[in-house]
Amino acid sequence: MNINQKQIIDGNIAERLRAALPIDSVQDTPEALIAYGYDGATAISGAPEVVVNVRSEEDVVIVLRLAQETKTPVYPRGAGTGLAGGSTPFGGIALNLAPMRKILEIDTESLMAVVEPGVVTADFQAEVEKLGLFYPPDPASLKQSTLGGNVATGAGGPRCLKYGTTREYVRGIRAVLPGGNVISDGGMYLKNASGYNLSQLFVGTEGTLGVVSQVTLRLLPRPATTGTALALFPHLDDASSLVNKILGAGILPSVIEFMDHLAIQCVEQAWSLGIPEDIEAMVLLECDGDPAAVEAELGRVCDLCTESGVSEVQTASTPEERDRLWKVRRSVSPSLARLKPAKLGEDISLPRRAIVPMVRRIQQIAKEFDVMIPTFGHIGDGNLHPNMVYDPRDNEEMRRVELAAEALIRSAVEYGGTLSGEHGIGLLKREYLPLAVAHKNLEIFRGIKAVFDPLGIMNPGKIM
Amino acid sequence: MHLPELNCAHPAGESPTYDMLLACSRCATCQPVCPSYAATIDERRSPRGRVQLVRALEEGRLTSSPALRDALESCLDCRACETVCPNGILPGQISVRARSALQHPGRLERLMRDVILNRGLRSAPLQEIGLGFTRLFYQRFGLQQLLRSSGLLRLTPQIERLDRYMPAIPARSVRRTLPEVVEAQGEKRGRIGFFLGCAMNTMFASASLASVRVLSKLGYDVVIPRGVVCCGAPQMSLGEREMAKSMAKQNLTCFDGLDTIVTDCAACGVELKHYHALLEDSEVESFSSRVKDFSEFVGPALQDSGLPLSINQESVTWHAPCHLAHAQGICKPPIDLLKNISLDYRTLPEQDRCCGSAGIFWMTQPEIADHALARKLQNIRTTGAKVVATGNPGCVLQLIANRNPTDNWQVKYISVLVDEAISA
Repeated sequence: MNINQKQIIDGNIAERLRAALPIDSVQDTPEALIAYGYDGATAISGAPEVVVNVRSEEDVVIVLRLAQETKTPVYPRGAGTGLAGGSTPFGGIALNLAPMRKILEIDTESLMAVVEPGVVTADFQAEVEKLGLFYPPDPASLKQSTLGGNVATGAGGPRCLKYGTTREYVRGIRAVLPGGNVISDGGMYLKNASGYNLSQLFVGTEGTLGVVSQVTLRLLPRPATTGTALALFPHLDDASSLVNKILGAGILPSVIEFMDHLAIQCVEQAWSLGIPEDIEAMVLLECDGDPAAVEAELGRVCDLCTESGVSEVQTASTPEERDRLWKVRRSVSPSLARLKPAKLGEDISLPRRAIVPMVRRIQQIAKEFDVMIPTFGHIGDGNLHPNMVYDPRDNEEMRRVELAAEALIRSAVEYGGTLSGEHGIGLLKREYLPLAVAHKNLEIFRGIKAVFDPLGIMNPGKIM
Repeated sequence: MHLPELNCAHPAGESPTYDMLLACSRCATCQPVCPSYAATIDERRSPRGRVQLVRALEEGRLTSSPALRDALESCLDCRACETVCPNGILPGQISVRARSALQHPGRLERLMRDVILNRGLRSAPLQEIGLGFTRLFYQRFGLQQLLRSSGLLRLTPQIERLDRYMPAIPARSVRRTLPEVVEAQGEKRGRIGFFLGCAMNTMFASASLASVRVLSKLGYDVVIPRGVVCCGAPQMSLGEREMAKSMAKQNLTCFDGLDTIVTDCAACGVELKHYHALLEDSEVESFSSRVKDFSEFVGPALQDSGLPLSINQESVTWHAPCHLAHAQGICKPPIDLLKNISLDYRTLPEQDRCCGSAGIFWMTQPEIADHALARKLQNIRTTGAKVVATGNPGCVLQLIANRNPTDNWQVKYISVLVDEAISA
């Protein structure tokens, strides 16, 4: 699937794009090539040959037609916040979809919305909430990430436990294929058994099949209230048994988040909250719905915490108090910089029953390879983020981190889990994919890609 | 355990370093709060983009060019990015420093800078004379009316803008109205210094007169040193570090023996609180830590005073100046103060989002500034408040100059509202 560099240069792609697209769409100054050469994966940077800002589906069609003609690779990007290097360009066209940011329709009767790919997730949520509606997927980057990027990576978030990932909300797409053909699939209906579901196929393909130019998203009625609880446990197993007890009691919280001992210590260092040294696990829980029900459920959750050996539990129902509880959880990722300047974040997804053995295994791996691995994540849905922190100037440590990462992924697969729950594969996890996906399945992946993108110009080198 | 506070702006005094450039995790948390990104949707005009560009410059992957300077100059220096950055990076200060390092003013510009930034801003009497002439000939003798009605102002948008932003200049400056020491009223509680900024002395004299009155009513002897010169903020924002340093050194000598130095100008406050970093002198830290914003000092002092208050009946909202909320991390004190003196306080959505004034940014980058302004005006209108209180001269100019004739709210300096509440 390698692109012949010579053909790209012969195509003089920047000039041809400039001639075909609206003014100011095409940039190839050194500043633009640097600024559109990275995303949220700090370990990787590239540079495109040219940056194209598209403002409409017609623009995308023009770009993909020219790209096909000149066999130029195309690297689509939303806000560039992905954590796996999925949008990093290496030559070719960095296709910036962020300017396509119109919400085209919100249908309050069908509970569906149609959006362009550059709409920022949080902006969309705010708009539907004004109408009493709810779009649950909540990746940590929701204030800056785009819906198109969320679709491309299959983004999740804490609320997945009750509400599922972005995938569960995609009901239709329009997509531009290499060569400029536009396909339209699905629509404003909930159920669809009319043959292969192409809309679902596009979710999580990271721009390797084509460019999603429009998405139809399912909405829900907005829950009236949300209540939050934060609990500290001296024993990891108690935190885990709490989750089972809650679900066993017929309560489905919207969120059950988890932080391990090292992650808690990082937050403690950042904010001096007075969390005792012997706390092994922190659990943050949310219930949403009717106010009376939420109050009753939270009360029951607190009782179950006590039965499970909690050392402290705090609840909140006002938005400000909730924000303060969440701040403890949200500070984890950035506060890891206090341990070491760089981190390699994993995104393993496991059966819920494997969470405790996996966390124990991570602690073993950390000892074995002499690497610090603070771990946090979504204990309710089985998605964990072990983060290996390191100093990029220490080559020996980086090698140990790579070995630890491989051991970690192998263990996750042994426990019946997989490589990525919500970040995607991109470039960062590409070499590990064969550990989680069978050879035969990868062959099928390639076959599907060849149908959509026979020349291999769409985000080449990503996923496979 | 106790819970963390929500407002987590960084303490004054840190300086950007190369290590800081490396520590950017490219999470883009800064993007949604950046006014220049909102106006352009251009990575190069976002805090993350500018940090990465400066890093490339430092690493020799990029050289200075008009496009690079463009990207750096699109930063309003509102520092909202610094408040939200989870890694403690200072993208605003990184951009401002880098653009200063890249500028090469010609001979004429150097001369103008020396005349205005150095000589002009060092001398309050010179400023008073200059503005006095403007007032007399331009505003009083009808030249302004003449120019306005003749349509000459509409020749270029810049001239029209300049005229629109010009406030009615008061007849007397604060210095020419008040003695060097204004004595305490009632029971005496102490002696404090008052840093009188250039704009506050002249164009906004009524606000600073109110500030001093409030401090004296609270029982303080207020010392307004005559030796004070410009705080150094305009020089710093144009990259004239040496000029700013000489201003700082002069100002440092003026407040000996005073434990507290109050200023009612948010921009001056930031500069004064950074003197130790500017002069790279840890001994100056004791000076910096004595500086307090008006709301920071008056809020608690008013609570303690037990003075009878006449509660403001009109609905009021607070526009948080960037130099207060982001650069000094002061968010709650002015709001608490306003709630204390008002019956009907209304929260302004996105209260700490830049209004687009940003020094002379409203003139140099009108497209980005106007985008920020429109968002601010829209937010103000949704509150329905009759009074918009704020605490920075630039914000006052921006809001007054761009209020619609149909807008039924007025802009008031926070100290004026406090003064009104204590007066009665």
